[in-house]
This record gives sequence, C-alpha cells and structure tokens, in this order.
Amino acid sequence: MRLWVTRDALPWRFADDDCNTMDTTLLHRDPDATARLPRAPRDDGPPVLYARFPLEPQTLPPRAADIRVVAGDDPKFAVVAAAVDPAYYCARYSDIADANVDPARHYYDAGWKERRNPNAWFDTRWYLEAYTDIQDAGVNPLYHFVVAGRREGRLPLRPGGHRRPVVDQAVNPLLRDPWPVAPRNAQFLEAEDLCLRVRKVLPGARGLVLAASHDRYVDVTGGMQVLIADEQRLFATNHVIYLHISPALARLTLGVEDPEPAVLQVVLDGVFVGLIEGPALAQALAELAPDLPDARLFTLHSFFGHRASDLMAAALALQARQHVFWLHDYASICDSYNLLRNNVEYCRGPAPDSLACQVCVHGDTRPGYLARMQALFTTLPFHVLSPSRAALDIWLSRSSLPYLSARVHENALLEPSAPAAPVGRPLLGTAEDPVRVAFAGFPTPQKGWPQFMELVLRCRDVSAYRFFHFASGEAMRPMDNLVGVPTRVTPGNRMAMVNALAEHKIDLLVVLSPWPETFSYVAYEGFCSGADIVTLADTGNVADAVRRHRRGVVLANEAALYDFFLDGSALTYAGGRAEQGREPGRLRLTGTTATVDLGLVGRTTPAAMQTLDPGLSLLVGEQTLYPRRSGDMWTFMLDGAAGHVRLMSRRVLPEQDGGARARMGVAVTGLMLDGVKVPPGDRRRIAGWRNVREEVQWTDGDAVIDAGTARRLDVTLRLGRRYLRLAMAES
Amino acid sequence: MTRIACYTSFNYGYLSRARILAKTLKRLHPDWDLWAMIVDRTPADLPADALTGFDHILDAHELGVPNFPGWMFKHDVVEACTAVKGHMMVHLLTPPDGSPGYDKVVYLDPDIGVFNPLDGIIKRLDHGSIVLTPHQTEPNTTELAIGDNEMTSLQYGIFNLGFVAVRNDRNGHGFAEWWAGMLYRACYDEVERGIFTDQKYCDLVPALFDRVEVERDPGYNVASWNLSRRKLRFGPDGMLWSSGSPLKFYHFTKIGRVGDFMTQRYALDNVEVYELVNWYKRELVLQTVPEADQHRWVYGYFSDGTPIPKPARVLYRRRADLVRAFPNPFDASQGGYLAWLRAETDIMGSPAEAHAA
Repeated sequence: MRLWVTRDALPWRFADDDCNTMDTTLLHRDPDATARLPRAPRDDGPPVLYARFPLEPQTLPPRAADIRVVAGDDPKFAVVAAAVDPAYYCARYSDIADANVDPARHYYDAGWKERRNPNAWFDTRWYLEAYTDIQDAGVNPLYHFVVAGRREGRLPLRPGGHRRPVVDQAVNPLLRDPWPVAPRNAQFLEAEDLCLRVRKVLPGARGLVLAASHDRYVDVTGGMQVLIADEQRLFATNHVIYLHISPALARLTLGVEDPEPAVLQVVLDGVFVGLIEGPALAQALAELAPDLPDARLFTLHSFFGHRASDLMAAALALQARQHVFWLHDYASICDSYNLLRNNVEYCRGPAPDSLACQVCVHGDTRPGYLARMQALFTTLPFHVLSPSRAALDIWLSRSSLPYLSARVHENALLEPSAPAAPVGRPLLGTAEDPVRVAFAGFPTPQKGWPQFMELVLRCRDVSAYRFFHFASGEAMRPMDNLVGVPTRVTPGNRMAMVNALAEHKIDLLVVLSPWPETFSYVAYEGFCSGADIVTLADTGNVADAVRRHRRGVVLANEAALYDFFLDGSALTYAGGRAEQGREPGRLRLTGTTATVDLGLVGRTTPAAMQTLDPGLSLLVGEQTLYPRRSGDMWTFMLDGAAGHVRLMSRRVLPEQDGGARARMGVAVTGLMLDGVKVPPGDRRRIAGWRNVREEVQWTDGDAVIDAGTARRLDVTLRLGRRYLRLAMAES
Repeated sequence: MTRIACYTSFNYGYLSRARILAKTLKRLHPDWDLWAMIVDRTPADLPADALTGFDHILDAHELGVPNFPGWMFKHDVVEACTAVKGHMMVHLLTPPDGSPGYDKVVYLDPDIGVFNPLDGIIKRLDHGSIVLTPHQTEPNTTELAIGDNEMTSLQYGIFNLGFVAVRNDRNGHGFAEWWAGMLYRACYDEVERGIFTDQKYCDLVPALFDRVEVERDPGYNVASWNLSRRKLRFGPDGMLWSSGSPLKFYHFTKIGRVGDFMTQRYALDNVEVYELVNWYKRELVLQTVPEADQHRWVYGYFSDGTPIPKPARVLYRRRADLVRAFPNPFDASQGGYLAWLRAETDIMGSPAEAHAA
C-alpha cells in the first residue's frame, strides 16, 4: 500500500514525466518568498515551518506537483528550480539569505559554479569531480542529473550515504587536542585552601561524596548534568557534603598520564570554588580524612578528561567506604563510548584483537586503554550502577573488569497518569490532520539525525505526515517540509521539551540512535508528552522502554523505518492510538547515587567485599600485565622475551589475615605456555607454588614462572571460592 | 613440516605498502618465510628496521637474469616489478645453491592486506599444483559493471596476478619456469598486442598445466573489480565477512583518486569498504619510511641522472640491434644509449621535458 506516495521513495528518482516538463515550467515562485524565509530562530521564538514556500504554522506546504505555473522562457531554469530547496539553500549559505535573492535563480546562475549544493540530496562538487565529462561540458550539473544523469546510473551524492562522512571524519579521540573549559580567571586552590573550604561545611555533616564527571555540571545543561545536580541536592538534604571534580581540559576519552599535573575544576555543594591540581586534591583529601565522618563515597559518573591516576589517588586518599561507577555510556569497554565502530556502526564491543577493532580508529589504542581501565577497577572496588537493564546486560557480557556488585538503578521512572479520552480524528493522515512526527534534541549522527533527515526527504511528497524538529535555536537544521520548534531545557525549565512536544500534539517521536542508549532521557520526555516512540532494535533502553511500556514501535532496521512510513503503517498505528486515547505518564527522577542503598554509613563488612575475581595480574620486569578472562581461564599475552614472571593475585584485607600473607592464594588447575601444558612440579614453576594435589597446585598469591620466550600464558583456576577485595588495595 | 614461502615484489616507493603486507601476514602466519624481492637500489640512509617483518631480502639483480641491465631497461616501474615474479618463484622452488626449495610458494602483491589465515589456499595445494584467483567470480548484470569488469578482464586478464600460489611439484615447477620465460620475453603493458605485464599470460594456465585450482571463495582477493558482487560486513564478534566468507585478503589497488572512484562506484553504501580503505590509508601514513618515500627508483634514470622516458624503453625493447649495441643502456659514462638517443631521435627532447618512466 503506497497511498500517500506520489513519487518513488528515493528523492532523486522523480516520476519519469517530471523530466519532460521543460516546456510547461513547474513553478510559479513568490518573489518575496526567500525574503520571508526564517533566519536562525530564537529559543523563545515561535514555531517555524521550514518549507519550500513561506507558510504560516499549521498550514500545509504545497507540493511541487500541485503548483500551477506561469510558463517561463527558460525551460532549463524550470527544471533546476524544481529541484532547488530554498530553505536549505538559505540556511546553509547565509550570504544568499542576506542578499535577498531567489535561491533557485542564484544556484542556476552562479551557485553551481561556486560548488554550492542546491538541496540535501545533490552534491555539486562531487558530481562534477566524479563525472569529469559533465565538468568539461560546462553543463549545470543539477540539470544534467535530472534530465539524463539519473537514467545513466550516475549518482547525485558521494556513495556511502549519511554514514560516509562520519566514517571519513572519524579520528581517535586521543588525536584531538583537549580543549579548555574552565572559567577565565578562576581561582587556583592549594591543598590547604580546599581543606579550609571543606572544614567550613564539615560541622554537622554526616558524610562526604566525592563525585567525578566530565564537565562543570552547575554551568552546563544536559541530561547527565541535571542528574548530578539532583544527586547533589538530595545528598545535601541528608547533610552529606558533595565535592565534585571535572577536568579543566576536556576530551572525549580518559586523560593521558603525564608528569605535568592535571588541573581539575572543583564544585563544592553546588558552587564552583576554583581549580586544583590532581595531586593537591589527593593531598587535601588525605589531610581531611581523619576528621571526616565514616560515610564517604566516591561516585564516578564519567572519567572523560580525567586521569585514572588522579581518580585512584583521590578515592584512596579519601578512604572512601564505597565506590560507585555509573554506566551512563560504554566508555569502560572502549573509548568509543557508544560502541560505534569508526563512529558509525554499533560494534557490540568485540575482543580488542578482532578485525573490527583493527579497522576502527579506536582500535589501536584500545589495549592500552583497557589496561588503564583494569588498573582503575582493580584498585577501586566499584559497585556498578546502570540506568537500564539493557546497558547492564551489554556491560556484563562485554567487559571483564572486576566489580563488587552490578545493578540497575534507573535515572527516572515513568509513572502512569490519568489517560486522556480518545480523540476522534476522522481526517487523520490527510492534509488537514497529518500524523505529527518529531525528532527532539541535537541533530547529530550519534542521535540518528541523518536517518531522520532521510525519512523527511523520502516523505517529502507524502501529505500524511508533518515533520518537526525540537531543539535549541542554534541546533536547528532547516530543510524543506520540516517545522522547527525552538526548545531549550534548562534547570529552571526541566519540562520544556515535554511541554513543547505536548503543545504541538506530536503523535510519534522518532528516536533513532545507532547505538544502544543506556537510558535516553528524550524517549521518556516523549512518553510524558503523550507521544509514542518509533525506534530501532539496537537502541538499547529506548527499544526496551518502548516494549516495556507498550508505547511505540520497534523496527528491525533503517529500511524497515522508511517502509513503516512509506507503506502507511505509521498512519495505521497513529490511527489506532487516536482511537485508544493517550496515556502521557509522569516522570519521576530517582536522584541517581543519592537513592542507592549501599550501606554508606558504617564500615564495609568483609562479606560485602567478596568477589569471584582474584584479580590476577602478571609482573613482567617493571610492567604489570592484565589478563583477558574467558570463564575460568585467564590469558596473558607476552612479548616473547618475558623470562621470569610473577603471577600475582589481589591483596587480602590485612585485618582478615593478620598481615601474615599479603595476597590471596589461588588454586591453579592448569598452566600453559604457548598452548603447551606446564604440569605441577615442572621446573618452570619456580617459586611460590605449594601443595601439589592431583592436578591442582596452590600459589601463595605471588608465584614465579619461567615464561622463557613464550608469547602466551594461560592460567586456569578452580573457581567456587570467593576472594576478598580491599578498598585500599595497592593492586 | 611443510615449508612455506611467501614473497612480494616492489621498489622502495612501495615500501609502506609492503610493510603493511608484512605486518598483516606475519600476524597470521608467523611460521611462513616472507621474502622481499626488491627491484631498486637500497637507499644509503634507509633505517635498519625499514624491512622488519621480512625474513629474507633479495635484490632483483641477484636473481641471475641473463643480460640483466638490458632486460631491466625495457620495463617501466610497474612492468619491472612484475617481470621479476616468475624468476623469483623459480628461485624459491629451486634455489641456485642447490638447497631444498620450499614446498609451497605464495605470491602476494605489496598492496594487499591479509585479514584471516590463508589456510584454505595451502590446503588446496595438497592436491592442486597452482592456485589462481579470478578478478570476478560472479557475473555482473548492469552495463556499467560489465564494461568495467567483464570487458576489462577480457583485455587485462581473467586472473588477478596479485596472488598466485604453487606447490613444488612437476606442475608447479613447470608453471614457474614457463611464466619466468614469458616474462623474460615480454612483460609489458601492451594491451593492444594482447599482453598485459605478467597477468594476461596466465589466462593460458588452465589450458597449459594440470591441477590448476581456481579459487572462487569470495573472501580472497576482494578489490574494486569485484565489489559489484561482493559485500563486506562485520559480524557481532568483530569478524570481517565478504559475502558470507571470512575476508582473507583485500587488494588495495590504486589507492588514491582513481582507485577511490572505482571503489565507491561499486561499494556504494557498503560503508564497511570505506572503513577498510580508510584504515589502509591511516596505516600507509604510519608505515611510511621517509628515506624510502623520497628515494628515486634507480632504474628510472641513466647513470648520469637523466630520467628515462618510456619511449626510450619501448624503442630499446623493439630493436634487437640496440640491445646488441648497448648491453647496459643505463650506462651513460661513455655516451652509450643516451647519447645515441639524443643524436638519432627526438625522444629525449629538451632537458626540461624529460621525465622518468
């Protein structure tokens, strides 16, 4: 069923007779049209309809095929003008908007020679460079494509679609220079300055939380920042001091270890107090520690821009009783924090030596990155908190990092509200009452904007739908047949998006992230507004939430998305919703770390500090190697010249063992070098091996092996016993 | 234990590519002996680790090719680097010092990257003697693709000689000797005469030799010439698949404007292809050895430094009297072929017009 499609789905495949209209001229153009086209909208401005013609909101853009015409004397111009998108052209080229000229006329006369693009689906520069015969002929490339090129199999855009530019621009985040984010003239704090400030708020305090994330949450608006602000306020009501650190130099990966100390921004109880160097922060916390209440928590929301050594030093100096690691993203699995291979395709976090990692821009640095991650997680015994089951399942299946516990703690809950009565919409899907489809938020590839753009393009002659974009003014991307609604969520107006979506009676909110979102606040905003969500299978918690709340459609892939709209399924679905009435729902924020029961007050019991992971590592000279774990086997990759190595296990709690043994013994059932068994009693088991009993030999936690020139060491352990972890472990 | 040799042939301008081949092959087949056949003179300042990954290095002039200077002069750089492949194969099967040859020998172009073990090829050589990979293993259906692929293969060769593998048996040896002989005779880019370097001759191989294996697994020799019928995909475990088969090796032919254009013409929205090509371009940067990159191909110049234009080579290879008169045409110390060219032809033009080929 393609009731609403008047042309082929692909935007450049016009109906055949469109090519033969040179003598009848398609368009009558309003000479004032471009003058009235919207410029960059203000956040508080009214909704703006970006369309081929200036229109009042709530009216329908006429389609090219409906326009009747004044015959022009230049048939070539008519062909070109029909394919130029004025809104796109003016938005992309501000000089054209400023000059108040007709975009089609400009493109026809000069724009193509200046290599400007006439619309979102034709790349002038590409066409001329790819087809040098057209360049040599001096023909307007858009005209050529419409009347001939498309039939000859020529392509209007560089192949690769919307993914190609993302792939071509992908770089390892370490190759990007960090950028400064601290306020100018911010005060530099010494250790004693910070001690003084904390001591001022210490009287009456029941605890202290050291929190780390990637930016100064009090001055940046965003999903995670809002959550952290809530967390801080909730802790404050319980008289818990909240000390937040973020890097003064931002980057989208773990900071690089460097002899020069890193500078951190410090926010104390919601107020920015200045900058401090990493070692000075640890020094201040060590000095404060004896005087702090027992309830001390380290919560890590994001380590972007931080150095692992600073985080470890600060948490250890604080003598935190509990450590929390948040799975707001997958940065603990790969520095492609959303597990997008080359920033474009969900990779599912394969093994670092896989071909996918070899080809990915994040692959080269991943082994070293994971080693630093291992050091962080081995040093700090984390309780892992995930905003969703979907994210936790991925983390548990893809990460081999040690942890104390792992659980789901949603950022927000959707609670039922009174259902709205069914609304009769007899004209739904017609020009009078189109299905209202929206994209909310920043228009980035990581949020699926290119797929949404493609959807809008493919539906450009489908009158059943009206498309909207809700975002802050500067994030608008004007294009034909898209209504832009400036919307900005702020701490003072947290419901701005919900209200805007509801006000515009959005039926379907599309959430097309190409990676498994750990939560997706925008999807919940959509639910609360009364919209249902259209999403794809690999969107993580978005797809899960849609299924859980029965509030939308989960489609298998991008092709299914376009089919859903083009074959009328979306209209059928929207019709069903209208008959049933809306159930908007209410959003209850959970306060993140502040509402997790971790037994914060009082000392941790040994029972709570148990893990099945003995924290094996291998000391090769001065270097510590961390293994890859598969079931009960731990594998270390060597360089072929390791010689004598030391197999170490986690340190035990001193008070549990009277200090008699520094490390936990492990039961080794198998030892192999380069795949060849090294049996108990073998002379290569040099020292630290005890009690040969059948095939099992115990180590005292620090066993020496002669690895010789082997390149691989496999250690199989008898599991079943639990190992104690030490919060203050030196690894 | 089966002794396996793999070799490639290149001049120093292609060193970065050869280093990628060595790196990717050695990771998967550390037990193979990897040989570099160098058709060039080693730059004096070449860093010691420039050829790390290669177990053996042999200069073309060490192959014992008769009348080497005159023979080498007949070829431009692409022709020269392919002309030595037959002799090198013979060298590895029957070393001149009488030592036992390798049991199996694989040739790979320097612009190939290896991604999965080539065990299937080695196994084929248990019962076959010669393995070849066709440019296309599936018919094209569009006019554009037929013109670019089937018709081009008819002109330039059915099999891509970026890869060939032989077993050290009578058949394999017979092929190597025949191939070396044909390449000694004429390894030229003269498609109009039915010759294209070392490649077009091999259309005859299934007719001339027994136990020829045509490897049609879509995971081998993936390149722009078969992307119209092959799709690359990553699996959830990070494996890279080519139309349902693990990608064994990809031929990064003509990386640059021309190659990129043909790649995208057929890769279309298969974004994994661009990911792979971009990886290769990044690796090229990483593997570049500046001393080699700035090095002039030694056989591109007369001994006095004058660049050798292609017509000078073509004229020389067509005239037996010139070959007899100037057995070392590079040598300009006593006038030689260069002086003759200047006196008798317009080929050398003015000094400003001359360029090496």
